[in-house]
Formats: sequence, C-alpha cells, structure tokens
Amino acid sequence: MKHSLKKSALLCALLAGIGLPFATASAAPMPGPQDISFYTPPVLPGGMQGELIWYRPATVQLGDNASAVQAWNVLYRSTDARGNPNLVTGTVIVPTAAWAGAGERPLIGYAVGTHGLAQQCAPSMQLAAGKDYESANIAAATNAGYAVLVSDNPGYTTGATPTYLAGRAQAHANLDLFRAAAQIPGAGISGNARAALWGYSQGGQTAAWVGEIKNSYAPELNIVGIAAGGTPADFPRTARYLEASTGASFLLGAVIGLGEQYPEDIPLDELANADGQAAIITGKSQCVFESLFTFMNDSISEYTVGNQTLDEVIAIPSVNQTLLAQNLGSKKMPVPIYQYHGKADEFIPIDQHVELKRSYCRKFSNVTFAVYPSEHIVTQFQAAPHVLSWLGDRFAGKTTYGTCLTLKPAPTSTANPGGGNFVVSLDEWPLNARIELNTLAQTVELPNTSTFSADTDITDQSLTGSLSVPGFTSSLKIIGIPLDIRLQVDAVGPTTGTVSLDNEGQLSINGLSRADITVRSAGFSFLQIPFGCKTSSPVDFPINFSGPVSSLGNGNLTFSGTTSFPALSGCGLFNSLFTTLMSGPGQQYSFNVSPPAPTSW
Amino acid sequence: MKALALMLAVTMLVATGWYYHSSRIKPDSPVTDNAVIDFNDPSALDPQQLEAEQIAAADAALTLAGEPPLAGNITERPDFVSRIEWQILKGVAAARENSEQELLRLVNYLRFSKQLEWWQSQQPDPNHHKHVQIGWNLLNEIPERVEQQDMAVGQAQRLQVVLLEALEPDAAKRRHHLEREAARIGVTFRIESSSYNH
Repeated sequence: MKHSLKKSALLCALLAGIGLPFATASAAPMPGPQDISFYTPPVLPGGMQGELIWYRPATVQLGDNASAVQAWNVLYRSTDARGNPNLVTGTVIVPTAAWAGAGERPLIGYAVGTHGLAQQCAPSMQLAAGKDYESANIAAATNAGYAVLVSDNPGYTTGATPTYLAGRAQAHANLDLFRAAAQIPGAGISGNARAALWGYSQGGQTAAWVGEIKNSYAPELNIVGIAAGGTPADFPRTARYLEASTGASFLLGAVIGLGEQYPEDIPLDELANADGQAAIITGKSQCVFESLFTFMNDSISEYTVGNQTLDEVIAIPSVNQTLLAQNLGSKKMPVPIYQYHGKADEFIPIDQHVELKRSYCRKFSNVTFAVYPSEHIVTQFQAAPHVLSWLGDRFAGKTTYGTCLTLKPAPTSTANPGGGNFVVSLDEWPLNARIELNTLAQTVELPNTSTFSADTDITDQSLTGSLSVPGFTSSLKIIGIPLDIRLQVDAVGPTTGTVSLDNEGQLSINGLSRADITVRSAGFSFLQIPFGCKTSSPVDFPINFSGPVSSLGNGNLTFSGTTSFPALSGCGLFNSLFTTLMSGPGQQYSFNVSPPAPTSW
Repeated sequence: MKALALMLAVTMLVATGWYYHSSRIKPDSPVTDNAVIDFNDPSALDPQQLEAEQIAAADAALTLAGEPPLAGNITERPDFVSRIEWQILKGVAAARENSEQELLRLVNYLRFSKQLEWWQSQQPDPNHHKHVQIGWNLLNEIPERVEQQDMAVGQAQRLQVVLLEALEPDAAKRRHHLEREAARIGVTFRIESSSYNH
C-alpha cells in the first residue's frame, strides 16, 4: 500500500513535470506518500484555492486524556498574502465517536500559535510525534466532539520558509483547510457544517484575520464564531514590546517570516549584519521553545547593519507599510468574536488587544472580551474550556450580546518587566489540596480558599513560593465517635525548588513545601475546645511535576505523592493517641494548583 | 437531644485532656470502670474518672518495659489502653479489612508512643534505671515500628540517634551501635574514625 501510494505521488509529479494537464479543480484528490516526501508537493498547474492535492491517514497523539480520533494529513491549495497561489500542509482530526449533537458535526479550525520556523516544527509533524505543545487544547476540542482542522500555515513544505505572522496568508490557509477537509474521502466532513476559528497568539492573529476577510475570501463557509486570544493586532506596538524582552525570538521570527512574504519591502539581505544573518539561519532551524531561549532579551540592533534600532527599522517606509498591513481592526467582525488576553502577558501586550476590541466595537461587531489573570502561556491553556463553552453556544445558535457595553475600567498589564529573567508568576492561585490520613483512612480536604503563590524563574531554573491555608474544620469519622477537629496547615518557610522548560515544551518542577499540621481545637459543632497540638516537626511535601507546559494553565498541574507525618506534640493526655492515629509514613497528598478565574470586560 | 448529649460528652473529654495537659495534677480517682463509653449518655462520662483512666493507662505502659510487643488477636482492653482510647482504636481498626491485625498494630504503637512520650519528658540520667530501661526498650522496638509502617525510616533513624545519645556515653561504642541499629531498619552506612578518636 505504502509503495503504491508513493508510486502515485511520483507519477503525479512526473506528469506535472512533463506538462500534462491532469490536476484541475475537479480532479479527485489522491492518497499522498507516507514518508517525508508528503511535504514535497508535486508541480501542478493552477487550481482552485482549497483544492485538496493529496492526503494520507495520520496518527496523532493528543495526550492521555484525549478521546479516540481518526486523522489525516493533507496538502492543499491556498493563496499567500500577496495573492499568489501556494501549497499548504495540515492535519484533519475527527473524533471516532459519532457526533451526538444536533445537525452535522461542527468544525473547529484550530489556528496554531508559534511553532518555530524549521520544517520539523510543523504542527502536523509535532502532532504525529506526540510533541505538539498545543495538543491539550486540540484534545479539549475533539473531546467535545468537534472535528478539528489544524493548518500548518504556509511554509512547511520541503524547501520553503514559513511566512510567519503574515496574517492574510495564515487566514487564507486556515479558511482553505475547511474546503480541503471536505474532500477527504470517508472523513465525514461537510463543507456546509457549522464552523468556527479558534486561535491564540499567532493563532489569535490568524483567527481575527479570518473574521476580517471571511466574507470576501470564503463566503460559502458557515462560520458562526471566532475565538482569538493573545492576539498581536498592532504590529509596531507589539514589536516594541518584544524588543530586548523575554519574547524577543517572536520578533526575530516575525522579521524572518514577513521578510519571506515581502522580500522587497523587508530586504533581509540588506538589513541584517553578519550576526543578523547568522541569527536568521539559527532561527530557521529551531522550534519555538529553543528559539525562545536562544534569542531571549536580544535587541534588533544587534542584528542590523549599522546597528539600527528597532524604531529606525520600523521607520523605513517599506517596513513600516508592511507592518501596518498586518494590523487588525479595520473591518467589522461578521460573526461574534470571543477575544481574550492574559493581564500578565509578557509576550503580547494586552493594551493593543484592548484597542482591537474597541475598534471592533466601534464597528458594531459582537465582541466578548475576557481578561485572564496570568501570563501568555498559562492563559493559552486556561482559556480552553471557556472558549469551547462559548463556541458551543455559537454552534447551538444561542444569542450573545457581547461586552462592548461595559462600565468596567479597561484591563491594564500586570506583566513582569521584560529584559530580565523569564519568570512565570503564580499569584495566589487556588490550591485544591487533599491529604489522605493513612491510619484513619480518611481524606482531609483543605479549604477551597487555600492558595499557592510562586515565582517560577525559567531562566534561573528556580522556584520560590508559598502556601496559604486558612484554618478549617474536618470531621474525623471514627465508628461510634463523630468528632470535629479544627485543623491548621501552616507553611514553614518558602516552597523552594527547581523548574525547567525544555525545547519540546515539557515542564519539570522539583521542589519542597514544608508545613506544620496543627489540631487547633476539638469538639462538636460550634462548641470547640482549644487543644493546640501539632506535628513535632514540619511535614515535608515534595512538589514534583513533569508534563506538558499546557498543564500550567489547564488545571493539570498537580503535585502528589506520599509523605510521612512525625509524632505529634502538645496534645495533653491524648498525645500518644493522636500520634498513633495521625503519624507515620504512607500519608498521601495531592496539591492541584490552577490559575484564578477570568473576568469579562 | 442526642446531638447535644454527644456534644457535651466530647467537650468533657477534650476539656479533660486540656486540663491534664495544663495542670499535670494526678487525681486520686480509682480506675475500675471497664464499661463501654456511651457517647449518647453524657451522664455516663465522669471527666475526673476519664482523666484518671488516661493517667493509669500511661502508667501501665511503663510497667511493660522490656516486654515484647503484643501478638495475636487482642480481644480485651490492655491496661495501658484507656477506655476512650480502646473505643477509638477499635473504631479505627473496624474500618479496615484486616481489623484484628490493625487493632494489634495500633495498640502496640500506642504503647510505644506512651513509653516514648514518658522517656522524652524525663531528663537523661544514667542512674535513672527506669529511664534507661525504657530507652533501650524503645531502641529495640524501633525496627518493629518501622516494619509496621508506624514510623518512616528517616524518623526512626533520628530517634535512634537521640536514644543512643542518651543511653550510650562512649562515643565510639555509640557510633558502632548506631551502625548496627541503622542496619536493623535497612539503613547501611559506616561512620569512619575521626581525628577525635586518635
């Protein structure tokens, strides 16, 4: 089978090479090669945008919590930002379970965030390898029953360079994937199905662009909603925010990507000095996290001829014109849009996204704006259930009135200052914790007002934080003796440890929290007698975690393990009894931390 | 009404414990009542009697110094377990599948805890025969407590150090003894001779 598919592909390429007119808009798509040559497109005469050139069954690994899916890789026609035809790769993912809702299975075009400029960073390749850092969001969508269409965006075919952040090209590619997916034999995807776009960061830019051009580029698609988060809408403003800052790699990537799409307007050969040329080569060879660390806090002036500053580069008319051409907000959104942004976003400034909302609202678009409390990466994954709930309502045809009419003050940034270490702050994150007392075989739930705060310094690979647990009452269920005890968990010193984020987006935390566990009082109901006994030394709670970076935001950041309680002291006549009942090894604990809830604006 | 009675009962029990903890005055009330405590009948609870029972049980634990942990099924309340402790331990053990084994473990750990609590409350004195005897008894029983998962290895090792510090005045012997005791709980190490000994 594999052999025959490859033969078909080669034949296709050969026929195209000798100029035989075989591939037209009406030509049936064919199975593509199973190997890397899938990314080497045949030379074809012109066809329609959205035409599926070839496809192949694919295996995608979306994580342990993902429901079963079928997937296909696709190669399809699209159009770049300047109107020239191009070929784009992507992945179409369809849940195996039948759609249980009304009508046809809805489609979500998942517009990816920055993946990196090297070919191996292509989302289709990352998904196949089980390494795509956005797989948690994609899995959340497929788990909800939606078919998910993931365009790689232009530039991941062999020998090409991504036109990263060329918004119009990305929007074309994502819209054309709806058309192409409907041509996959047996995928069960309808071109008339209700559809939505969801993207964050680069994907937020894509999603908003889709909204702005949808009516002119793909009026036949039944798009009912758009979710765009962390959106770079004002390019000059975003560029200045990234300059010499934590996310400097995104600025370098934008220079490369826009230079690729607009080589006459952003002539990299003329603008880049030797270091700049080397940085371009490096940037093209890396994926997002490696690039993030490679270029963190770098300044454009290090890479330009004559060490021109960013402002000087932006002032070049052709560069300025190109950047402004990427800006959003000039069109009315034809469908409701859910915009969202993290207040502490260190990569994309929230103020310019706030301005985008205002622009859309001024044009009487139906805008819902949500403000998340944390930084860029956390927000990307925290938002998933809220986005999917909002999109679900759009698929269901529910009315949304948006939040354009609001008396709330506009959100302002709480981001850590740029230019220094990459610090992800967990500011009073709700702590959902429980301790299973071994001997008593009972679970003690810590109060839901407990919090965990920490600064995770990715650069220094250190973590410093603190637990805050208000006093609480727990009922000990001992046969024949119902007893309420008022407990307190007091952190002893800071939580400390190490933290790292590898080039594939895997987060590792190894730390230790120490706490005294105190029995403040005991009694029944409201009548409590002060008691005052506690563990004779602090209890060690190792906080170890290893998993995808998405866990920071999507509620999967859980520290669990088994620890030992020392003997208790100060329990008076009952000290030995309390020691017997509560001390010893085998005490299981689970501390889950997740960001605070978003608000609307 | 039942709730009120239970509330009073528990309050009295806890108040008793607090009172003793604060005053450490040993009452003269004899301990004779072996009946089950009825938490629904507060009149059956005499705080002074319960306090006396706690103290008597603690004293009884000290008389067992040198004796091995209990074995087999425990069907009657040992003297070193007070009535309230007995009911609580039985209640806790009953929630387990292996309730008989669990009760045995709890009772033995309670005895160990009472002995340790008393030992820690006394000033180390090599001439205090009872203190020394119970110290050695505790040291000897630590591996059993580790095996029964009453105590983590790290905690056990720290306790071994504390006990031997008080029990063995000779530093060299203490080190070797510590090695042996550590090995009994699965910790192997060797303390090299130091210049202190030369």
